[in-house]
Amino acid sequence: MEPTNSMDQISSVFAKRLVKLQERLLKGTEVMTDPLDTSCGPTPKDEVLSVDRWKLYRYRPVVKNPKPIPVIIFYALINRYYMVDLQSDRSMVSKFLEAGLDVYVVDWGHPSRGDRYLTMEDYIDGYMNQAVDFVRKQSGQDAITVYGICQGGTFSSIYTSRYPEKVKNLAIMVAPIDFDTDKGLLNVWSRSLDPDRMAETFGNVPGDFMNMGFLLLNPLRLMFHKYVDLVDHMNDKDFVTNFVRMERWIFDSPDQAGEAFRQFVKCMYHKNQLVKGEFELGGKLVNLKNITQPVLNVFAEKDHLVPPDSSRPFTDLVGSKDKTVLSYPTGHIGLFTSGRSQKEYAPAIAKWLAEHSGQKKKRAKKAGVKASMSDASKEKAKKVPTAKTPKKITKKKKAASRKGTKTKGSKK
Amino acid sequence: MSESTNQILEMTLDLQKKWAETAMKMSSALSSAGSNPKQPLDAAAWMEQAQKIMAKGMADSGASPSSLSDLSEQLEQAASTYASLLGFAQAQSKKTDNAAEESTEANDISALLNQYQEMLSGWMPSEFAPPGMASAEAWQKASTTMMGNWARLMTDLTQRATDGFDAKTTPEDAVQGIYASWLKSYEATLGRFVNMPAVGPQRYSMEKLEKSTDTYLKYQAANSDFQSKITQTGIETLQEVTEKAEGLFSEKIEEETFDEFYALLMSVGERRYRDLFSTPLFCQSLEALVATGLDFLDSWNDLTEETLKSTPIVTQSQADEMHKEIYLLKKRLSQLEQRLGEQDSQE
Repeated sequence: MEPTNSMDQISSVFAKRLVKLQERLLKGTEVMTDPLDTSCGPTPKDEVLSVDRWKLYRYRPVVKNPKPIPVIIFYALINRYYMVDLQSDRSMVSKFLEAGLDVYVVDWGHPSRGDRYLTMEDYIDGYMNQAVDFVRKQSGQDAITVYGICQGGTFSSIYTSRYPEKVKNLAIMVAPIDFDTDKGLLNVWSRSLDPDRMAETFGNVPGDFMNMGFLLLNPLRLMFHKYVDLVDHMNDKDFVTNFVRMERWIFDSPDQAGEAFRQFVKCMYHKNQLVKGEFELGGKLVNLKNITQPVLNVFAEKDHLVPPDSSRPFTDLVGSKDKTVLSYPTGHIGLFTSGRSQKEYAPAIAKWLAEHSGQKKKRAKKAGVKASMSDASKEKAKKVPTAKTPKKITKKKKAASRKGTKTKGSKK
Repeated sequence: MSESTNQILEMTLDLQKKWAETAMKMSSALSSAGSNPKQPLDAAAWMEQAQKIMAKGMADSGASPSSLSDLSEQLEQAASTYASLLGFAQAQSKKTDNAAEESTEANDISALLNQYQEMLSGWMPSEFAPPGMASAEAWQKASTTMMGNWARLMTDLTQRATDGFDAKTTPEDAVQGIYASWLKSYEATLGRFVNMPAVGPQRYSMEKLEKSTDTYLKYQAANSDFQSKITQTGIETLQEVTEKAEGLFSEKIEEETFDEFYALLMSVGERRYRDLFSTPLFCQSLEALVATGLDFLDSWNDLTEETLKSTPIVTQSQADEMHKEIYLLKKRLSQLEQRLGEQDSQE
């Protein structure tokens, strides 16, 4: 008999799905109750510096002779740095290490109530400068590569324009630079927020508050579909492990130091001062034209947190001649964790960094000191090892000086 | 499913539908019946009549049902009882509307009180005397006086609340501006009590408590307004999905049909919420929610500080003073270290 869409037919199809669901749930229970390795940041690293709440880590090189110009990664204050090394098959850092880079990363930690008075100046002129100086000293380099991600990219741009002599190359990734756009809901909503009140009342703006805002950007997908998807794949141990690991990162949201939050929202989101050249830090105006180093600008075309319109203008605002733009058809998090990230995005970024990390510049001795040193002292000074004894590097292929902006990687 | 089960399901659904329609109409009639501040609802008379109708309806319905058909009959009779009540409420509403222009406030309240007293006499046995009262009559008199005062107060408040509404407000604006309308009414009515000046030795704490209450109520209103927008969009999503899903279920249903339905739900929902979130009204609602939430948090922190003052516990503001001191000292230290370093390098 030809089946019809009677109640019986609907019930029968529904019942089949229920049976499958039940099988998945039973298997899923086994998966969830088994031990799951959901640890993050598998790439070995060593803590090399600890100041206040933040720490500087150095990833252990995987090549015998890493590139002489080290890379220091500054993640945003929002969420945690280990997104760049979430798991072994989703690790941007591992690609950098495979490319022979010497990689450092800053873990901003979790601010406490006592940190509520930290300003952007404290973070940029203080902490970032300390970290960069440490890496410069440890590597024996005058200038190093600064790699800023998201808000860390905004900070890195400001840092580089303030201390251009310390930065060899600047790379930013999904970094908001131009905040005057309606393409992102955060930009629209931030106009309704009063950061002064928030800083005064909260002290440190709670990470949970920020999280709720991010979840509200797409509530159906982020608060409903995600968990439906989990149930659909509950019997897959790998899926569940990756899911739980990602959940840990998403909800590991540090509080935001109140003053820094107030400053960032007011100066950037409300007044867009960086682009207008009106942003002041440490009593001095920040001018992005001071950035003349090679720059790399990476952004995601489907980014709902930092729309492309916010990141793209960076390359036009800097004074660099060597500019590279890499844009990819993915979202904010997809740049780090998607399948294509490991195969395509991270290797391309690593390649650019490696190409710009080959030239070594020894730190010049201070004028006048050399003349006053005795021969014995000079001999001794020569033999004093730095943290990484520099070796002569054979001339590698150096990218010819590029003129203008080169855009690549955009695939439709 | 058997035929009889189907029939029972249909009957129950039909009755529930009637019940729901009746209840909605009654609710609307009741609210319109009490909306005229110059003519307070003749509550006692209404209640008495309603009880008579209810009693008749229930008496006619008989004893506990022994079968499903008895149950459906009783439900039908109950529905018709409520329909009669509805008729009565509508008549009362019309009566109050017609009498609005001729009545005065004083006469209305006396009439109400007379009704109330009659009601009490009817309900309360004459030999009943509450503790502390000489007689039932004395109780009735005291109760009536209290009722009169309350009626005058409610009349005054209703008048003030009604003044808060703009007669030209459209229904759509009313829905959108429900928070603003509520706020206006609240500040004109209940808010005046909440913000009464406190007196006595505990006045500081009492004022802070009042402030917390005030900010909490406003926060709840803003939250309701915010939630209503989210919910409204959810409902619209379901409506659109229902319309579009008809095509899906008109053909032979497979397992994949459910996946298609789900995908439709997600795409429609994402679009609708994205549209909602970029509207100025939503942004206003979000702003109000955050602002009132911060107000409440401020007042709550204030109250907590006040409470902790008498305890040997460091309060948050005291800790903040120390934190600020430490922060400034560290900054000064860092500047001095930098200067020392520069001096050393020059030497």
